[in-house]
Amino acid sequence: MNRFFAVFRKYWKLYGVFVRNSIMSQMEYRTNFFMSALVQLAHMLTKLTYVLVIYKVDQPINGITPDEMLIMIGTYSALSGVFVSFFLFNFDGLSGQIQRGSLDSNIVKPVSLQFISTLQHVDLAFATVSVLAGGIMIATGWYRAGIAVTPVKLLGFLLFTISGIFLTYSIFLIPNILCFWTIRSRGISDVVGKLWDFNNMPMTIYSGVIKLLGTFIIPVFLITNIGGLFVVDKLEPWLLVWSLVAPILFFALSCLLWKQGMKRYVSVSG
Amino acid sequence: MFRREKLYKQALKDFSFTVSEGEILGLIGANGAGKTTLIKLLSGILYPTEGGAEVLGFTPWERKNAFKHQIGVVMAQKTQLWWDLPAIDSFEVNRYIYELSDAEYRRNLDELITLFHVEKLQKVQVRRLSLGERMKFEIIASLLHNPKVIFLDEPTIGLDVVAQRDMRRFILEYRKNHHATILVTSHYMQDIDELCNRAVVLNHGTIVYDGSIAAMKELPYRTLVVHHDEHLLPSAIKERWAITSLNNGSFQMRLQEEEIKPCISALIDAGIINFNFVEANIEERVIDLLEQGGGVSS
Amino acid sequence: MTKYVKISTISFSNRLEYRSDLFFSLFSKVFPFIIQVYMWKALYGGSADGVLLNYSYKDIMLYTIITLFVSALLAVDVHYKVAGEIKDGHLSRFLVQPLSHMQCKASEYIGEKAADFVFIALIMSIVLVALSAVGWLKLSFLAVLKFLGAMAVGISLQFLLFYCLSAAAFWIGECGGVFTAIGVISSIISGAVFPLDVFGPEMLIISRYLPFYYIVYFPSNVLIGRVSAVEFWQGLAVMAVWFAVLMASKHVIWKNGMKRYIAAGG
Repeated sequence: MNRFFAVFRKYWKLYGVFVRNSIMSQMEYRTNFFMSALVQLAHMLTKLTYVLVIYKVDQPINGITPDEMLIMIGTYSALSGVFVSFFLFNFDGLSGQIQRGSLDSNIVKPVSLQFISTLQHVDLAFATVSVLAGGIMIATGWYRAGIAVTPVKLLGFLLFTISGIFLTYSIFLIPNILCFWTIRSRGISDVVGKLWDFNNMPMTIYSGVIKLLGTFIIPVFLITNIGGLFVVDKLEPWLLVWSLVAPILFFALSCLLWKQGMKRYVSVSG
Repeated sequence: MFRREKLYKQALKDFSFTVSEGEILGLIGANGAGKTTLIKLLSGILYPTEGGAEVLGFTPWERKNAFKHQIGVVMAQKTQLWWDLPAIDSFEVNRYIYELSDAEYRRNLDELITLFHVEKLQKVQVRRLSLGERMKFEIIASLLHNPKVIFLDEPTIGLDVVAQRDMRRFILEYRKNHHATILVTSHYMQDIDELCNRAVVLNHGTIVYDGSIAAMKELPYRTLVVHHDEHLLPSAIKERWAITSLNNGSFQMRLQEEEIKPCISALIDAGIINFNFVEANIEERVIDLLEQGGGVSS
Repeated sequence: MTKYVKISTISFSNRLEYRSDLFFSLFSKVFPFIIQVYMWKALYGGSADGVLLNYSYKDIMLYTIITLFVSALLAVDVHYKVAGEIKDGHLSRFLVQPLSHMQCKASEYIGEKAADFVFIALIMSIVLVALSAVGWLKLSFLAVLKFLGAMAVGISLQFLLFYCLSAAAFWIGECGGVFTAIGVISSIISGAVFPLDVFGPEMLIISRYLPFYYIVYFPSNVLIGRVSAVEFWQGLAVMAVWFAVLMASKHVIWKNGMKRYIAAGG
């Protein structure tokens, strides 16, 4: 048990160094920060037009009111930023790392290669705008919908959102791991990215193939919708269970695929 | 449409050697001889198709954490330092990776910074450093955790002559204080000559020599340089002993021990007295070994 | 004149070769399209007779489908190209050669758009004929002609807008972020995401006097048949005014920009 905590502390501190180093690296490029923030703002405006439509029309969809929908769209906005800031650059850079052999320097170190390679670079510029805007949307929707602010609801929302982040990590990492087998993963990553954007609207508007795809096969819907559905008491039990099981499943899958990819890397590189 | 054929190259074949604790071993060979592959195998980066290895009691490619804590690897032209930050910030990363205590970290860091004379450069961003300065920090980063076995893959490549000499001096100094086992690969004979007490020469994936540097320099022949126009040399001499022209109007002869006396006598009889013996050249020896092995690949 | 035609033909054949770019951009627009279809279906509920934001269910669907193609056709990257030329110093070529930079870029643009049009027109015709067959769309020769006319002017306005924007590179070092942000915003206010009616009647009136209105929103509505004859000619008039204004602005902006470029050593 002690060992577990020691390991946890080690990785926690290590991640802290990554964040610190990343921020300091970017201090140099201050204009880049503002540019990134600007681009994020523009994309945020596009997402907001959907919100505008919902409020102008002012009708509930499948029982969810515009205010309640705002909570889910806000989660989507915030998590988009989280994804880009904490994961995207690392994932996109994986094939580059493999080609350049940069993984070698890290393989010989007593640390999880997956941890370093997928998390070492952080770009807060993107998260700042999205998380801020998303947070405001969530709070606004929560308030306007007259939802009570109880510990249960807050913790539940937090729980589902955090497990959503784990799911984000896994779902978006998996197509990129394919580059260990030198498969062009660009196309697949893009498709997953497009599917993610379906979260611009709450999952309740979808039906049929899309609903199945986004809930079970590439379960991006589980990432941004569950927290919101929970606090408005519209979360069905089976979905609740699945939304807690899926992150674990997909995370395990990503670790498994990573190990397989590494096996291939070490037998072929040179 | 055509199918791309997978080319398999056997990097290392029929291979076996042992390294004792505290040795500095030099690995020499042309490009593609297998030096880097060997380093990767011994550090656990690569998995062999057959065969085994044991380093510090571990099988490297099992990549156990206990093993990794005890080895340090510096690879040519690969950096582990963050580009836009001073090296010290990259050191912090290693500090947590290797789970060094505050005291340990401070102590090792201070020792290495002083040893490599980089006190003034600590706060400079890595991208602004010269190659030589950067290499020093790369090595420091790999030594922070006081590894027992160190792999240096081409540590002096691309450095100017002064920087190379400094690098060699620092490595020797470190070795004096820490009694680590070091495996160095290099193209530069100077590196092997000054740093190592033992050399392994690789050619096309096989070992063509494994022994001490001193023994390597003990050539089975001596080299005689004669300052005389070779065209004026009596044919009797030319027929008996092979000569190689040197560009400056002299030529050289390689003589086995027993040939020395007769040859010198013959030269003096022919009126040639302007000659001298030259010291064993390790570079020549290596080329010999490589050529014996079937040609040097470029 | 012939040199510009030559430039257009080269751009045209180039673009035909790299048509995967076009298909990829079309493909990436399909997903938002699907989201919107689901959204509108849900919002209109069961009543296909309902009117939301001034649009009947049929009309909003038509709008969504048509703007997919229209916005693909209006894609523009001249500002990135020009910014690159300014940064690399390649712009200097135009200082010494008897070649007008804008006409050169415009010719390239026309060539590319012509190539895009070949594919888009093909796909779009199939879709429109299908829609017409199910009675959703009244396709008449006149409507199509008006549409094409409005599109032509719209494409020119789009070009001029972004050509003026590209001059920012004379003053700003790294324009990428700014361009992307403005590109996204321009999409929104042109009606490429949702019809401009979503911004409310007041905003709609204001936007009638802005060029963006005429780039996506106007031509699309012409094709759907929501624009009366009077409105059509009014619209064309406003477009013509903007064309002139933008040409004049371009002249002024570029003159100042070039001064700065030359002063900086070209």
